[in-house]
Amino acid sequence: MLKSFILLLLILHSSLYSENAGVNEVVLEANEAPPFWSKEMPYNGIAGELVHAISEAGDINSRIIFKPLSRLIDDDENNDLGNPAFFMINQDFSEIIPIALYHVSLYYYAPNHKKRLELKSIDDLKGLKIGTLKGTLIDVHYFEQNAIMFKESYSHESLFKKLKLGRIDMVIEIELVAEQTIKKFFEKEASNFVKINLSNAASPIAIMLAEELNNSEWIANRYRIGLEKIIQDGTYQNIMKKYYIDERLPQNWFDDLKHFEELYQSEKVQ
Amino acid sequence: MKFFILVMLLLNMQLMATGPRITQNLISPDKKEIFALDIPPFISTEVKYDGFVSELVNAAFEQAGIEVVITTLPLQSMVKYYLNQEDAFAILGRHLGVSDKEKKSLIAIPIYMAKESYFYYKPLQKNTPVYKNKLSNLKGLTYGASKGEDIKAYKKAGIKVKKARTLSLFKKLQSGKIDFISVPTLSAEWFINNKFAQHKKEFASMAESSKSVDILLYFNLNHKAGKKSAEGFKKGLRSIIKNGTYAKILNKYVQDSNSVKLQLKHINKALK
Repeated sequence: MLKSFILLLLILHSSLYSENAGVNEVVLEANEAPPFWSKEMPYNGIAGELVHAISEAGDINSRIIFKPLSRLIDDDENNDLGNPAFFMINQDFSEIIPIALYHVSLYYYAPNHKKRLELKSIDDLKGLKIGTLKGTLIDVHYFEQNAIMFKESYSHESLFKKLKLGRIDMVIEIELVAEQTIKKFFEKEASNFVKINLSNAASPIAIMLAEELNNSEWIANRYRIGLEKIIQDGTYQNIMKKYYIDERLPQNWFDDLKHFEELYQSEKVQ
Repeated sequence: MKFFILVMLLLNMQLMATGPRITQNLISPDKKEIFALDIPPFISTEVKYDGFVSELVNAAFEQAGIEVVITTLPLQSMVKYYLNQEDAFAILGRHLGVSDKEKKSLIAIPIYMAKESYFYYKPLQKNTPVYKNKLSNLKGLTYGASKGEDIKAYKKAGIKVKKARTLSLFKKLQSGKIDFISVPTLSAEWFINNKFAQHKKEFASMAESSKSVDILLYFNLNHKAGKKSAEGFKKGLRSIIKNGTYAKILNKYVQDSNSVKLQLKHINKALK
């Protein structure tokens, strides 16, 4: 009831602008980050498919173009797609609309360890070699100070092969990517790859509108209406089902999405 | 579905904007989280040890035997969100926009007193702006304020105000959207050297515009560990001042021995 009321308010609010909005097409820029964004995948990947569905439901034309990440970050006048944390260092946005999430977990290969591994404190990782993708370490000095060893790789496949061979003890990876990689290369022994859940594992995937974009409030409202509509009619869940093993979204998906919406809207509320 | 897996694996890996960001708080489930506002070189993931204020805070907590992680955020509103909506343990930064009402449930401890000046972009100012300790001298100009900053005095002096993050303030200064900004001298040096090196000589500070702004750590009394940790932290801070760690960390960034002495005097006074 409340959701329907909010949706109605958004529609009424946006209709005030619609006649003068003059928006023909919104160009959104992404970098290759499969399976979330890819120009090679149907509908531009999972998040790409969501953007297209949201745009259709919100009655707004959107086009996704792909560029290398360095160019996206350097350009501070464009509209970006992805995790806002990568872009906000260099650019201010007029609107940030979280549309999905990705989760990161730790994985280990059980036959290589006599005891069950766990993460109750950072001390549990001391002395272990942790595999990560190149360029994903942020707080390098903190990890150095805590004697945590990271070994970087250039591909998902390489990370999990090294894990099985015992060259590394753990892997930090996006859950969806990890599950698909394990299924593809190690299907018969998938249960040997054990997942450890992390705190603060959820990160947002968002549409970010440039600070100087004309009618950005109207455009953002169209996206929010579109998002709400496809969640309500089940289109959103049907898209996600295609990509998640067992067709289940991670727990608290929509609560976490709401948290990120509130977090990025907080500037306007103040 | 198989197609997408194949594509995913065949593509060369590169840094992705929808990928893991391995930060302190991701793998430190048992530690208390402090939400800090980015302001290099004091607090920032772009700087070694996350900035020297982060280094000072970590050293004092370590001395107190309290385990924390500092999560650096780009927007003041995000820091406030964690404080007000999620009862954050503590928040850290400059110009956090804490209201008088909010202050009643916070314990504020100064970590560093930053010396600030007004800066302008020379090629866009036909007449050199003259401040001389009087805001009304800058009437008619547009001031670029940090979000969360108290701007009443500027409005009263007939100065237009636009708010933005620090990096944007420099960009707006350069594009002529604003006329002057107030930032810590060390931050100005950091931004100009790292982001505007080619235009280094075109930024200037106004004469007689120096003032001081505290970078504060606020403990939240609404958090169950807030009050006790604040006491522990104060002891830890006193200890690192006494044993020379505070000065040792500061000396890496502030070469002027008088400035270090001034800092120690200021912090000691605040801790009494």
